[in-house]
Amino acid sequence: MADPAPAAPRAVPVRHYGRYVAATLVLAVVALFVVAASKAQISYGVIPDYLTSPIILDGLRMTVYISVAAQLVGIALGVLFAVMRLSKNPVVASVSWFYIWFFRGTPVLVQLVIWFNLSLVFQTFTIPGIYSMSMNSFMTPFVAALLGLGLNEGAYMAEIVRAGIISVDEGQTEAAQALGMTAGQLMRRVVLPQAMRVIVPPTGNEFINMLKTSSLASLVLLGELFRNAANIYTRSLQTIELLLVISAWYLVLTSVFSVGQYYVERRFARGAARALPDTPLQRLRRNLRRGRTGGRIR
Amino acid sequence: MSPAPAHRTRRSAAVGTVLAALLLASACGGSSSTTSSGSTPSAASSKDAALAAKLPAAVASAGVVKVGSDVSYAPVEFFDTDGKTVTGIDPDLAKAVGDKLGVRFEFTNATFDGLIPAVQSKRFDIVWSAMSDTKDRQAKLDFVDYFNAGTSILVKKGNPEKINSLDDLCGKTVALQRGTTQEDVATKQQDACKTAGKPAINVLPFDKDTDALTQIKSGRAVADVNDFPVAAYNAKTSGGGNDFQVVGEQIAAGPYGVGLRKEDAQLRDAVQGALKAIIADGTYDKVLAKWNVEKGSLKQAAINGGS
Repeated sequence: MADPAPAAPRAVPVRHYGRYVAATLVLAVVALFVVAASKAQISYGVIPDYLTSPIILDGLRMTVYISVAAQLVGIALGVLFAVMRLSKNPVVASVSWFYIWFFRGTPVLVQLVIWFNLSLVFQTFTIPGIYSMSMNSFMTPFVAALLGLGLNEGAYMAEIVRAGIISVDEGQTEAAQALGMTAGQLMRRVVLPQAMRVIVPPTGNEFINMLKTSSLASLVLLGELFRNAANIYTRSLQTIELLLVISAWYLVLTSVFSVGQYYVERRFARGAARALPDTPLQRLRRNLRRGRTGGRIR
Repeated sequence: MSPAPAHRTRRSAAVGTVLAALLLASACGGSSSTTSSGSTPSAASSKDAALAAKLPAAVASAGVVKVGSDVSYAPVEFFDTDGKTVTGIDPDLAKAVGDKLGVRFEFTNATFDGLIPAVQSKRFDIVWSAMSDTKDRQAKLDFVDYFNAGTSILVKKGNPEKINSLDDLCGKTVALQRGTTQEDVATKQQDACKTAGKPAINVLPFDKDTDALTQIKSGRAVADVNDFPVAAYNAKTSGGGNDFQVVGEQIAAGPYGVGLRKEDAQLRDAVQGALKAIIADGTYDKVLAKWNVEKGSLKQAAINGGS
């Protein structure tokens, strides 16, 4: 007769006492901050009121507007100068190199102030033969911000797009040429779509940065979020309260667009992996369903 | 046997030391934007022991009073040709007052519209920055009045837009400094323009008055409204006297005050005492004569005398 099966060993999960110690320490530090914040001389009560005040919302609209506009200008210029930089034409490539060098090499703030004060050196804005206008009427704070932020962004985007284009295997170009595609067709239908996978994540990053860099435009009098808040707090002296208000709005903006970027990246990652991983939403739905039926579905 | 490990540790130790040395050097090399009032006044004052005794103990032992000032407002306070020394009417008066009290007034450059919060949060001890003593500001700080000045209108030389008064500014673009009484003057003028049926003034507020002056040069603004001594000084000196001119009369003259926290009554009284002393012994007149602003002389040294 066989021995009775040995008693199942008493299995106990590995104890991680250190985790409890670390967690307690971290929570203690966090608690200190919370206590400090509660003792701080801030009027927390005014923050919700300012969050939805019309001046702040106007500033918010302008921030989004200038960021989107400057980013679009930047992308358009970036694609143009990236393609120019990769051109075999030495003149075209050098001009593109100079643009990237100059606009990446000087601070955005300096560029903004130069654009805004351009009427010190050029009295009129002229497109020869087509259009002429006084520089002061042309260079409004919005135009100065658009030029300053957009041209600077164009230089960074040019490098990102160039990185994307050279990431596409040369074999793709050769195959396209063998099939008889023109340079334009092959760039548009073979190279750029594949380059997008490398271009989109840093571009999303650049846009998130642009949302915050737009606050520099306050120095050329653009009525965006920071300037509008500063107009309020230099009168009411509720400096920290208003800065917290706009910090909250900047966080909302960057979070919303980060989510957007995630889905755009997924779109361009199709075909790169056999099955894309679940989005957080899909994972949540899957976990809820599994919880309800108490077991695996598939 | 590979000798590599010994070499490697020695090399990385050397690299680490060099990096650490560089970091330390950069940490020690930090500079602040504090500059002391280095201009020599036309007459040095001697320490008055009785006045010096009135100073709060903390200030007397520190030997320094931290002054917040917007140092871009010639001739009241501005940087000398070396770009570092603060010079002008305010630093000269401060040096005279400091000599009487036996302490040094140290001017630090800051943005004008942030000066009052900076004093309230104790980053500075006092504001000495051509700040007009007004009822609104008296709610936050106490002021020892030391000079009288009104608002002037500064336009491009030759006055191409024919501006002669505030009313002529209706419908035009005006640049000015944010947070100043001139901003209030411009806001009040908007109502006057509306009543007169004229279009509103397009006001462009800047952080520094010099930025506003640039807008006249570039043609974006037709005028800058600032204090009369500043307007007069810039009309006389900028571009060899060919850039600007002052038009119209002084508007709403009122006192400049040294701003102090309300709880610093002892320091306030000491400053007032020293100011009265330099007025009495003629040092005050000498400083004003040096900068050609005798017109703004104010001898009462009142506290919160502004309206």
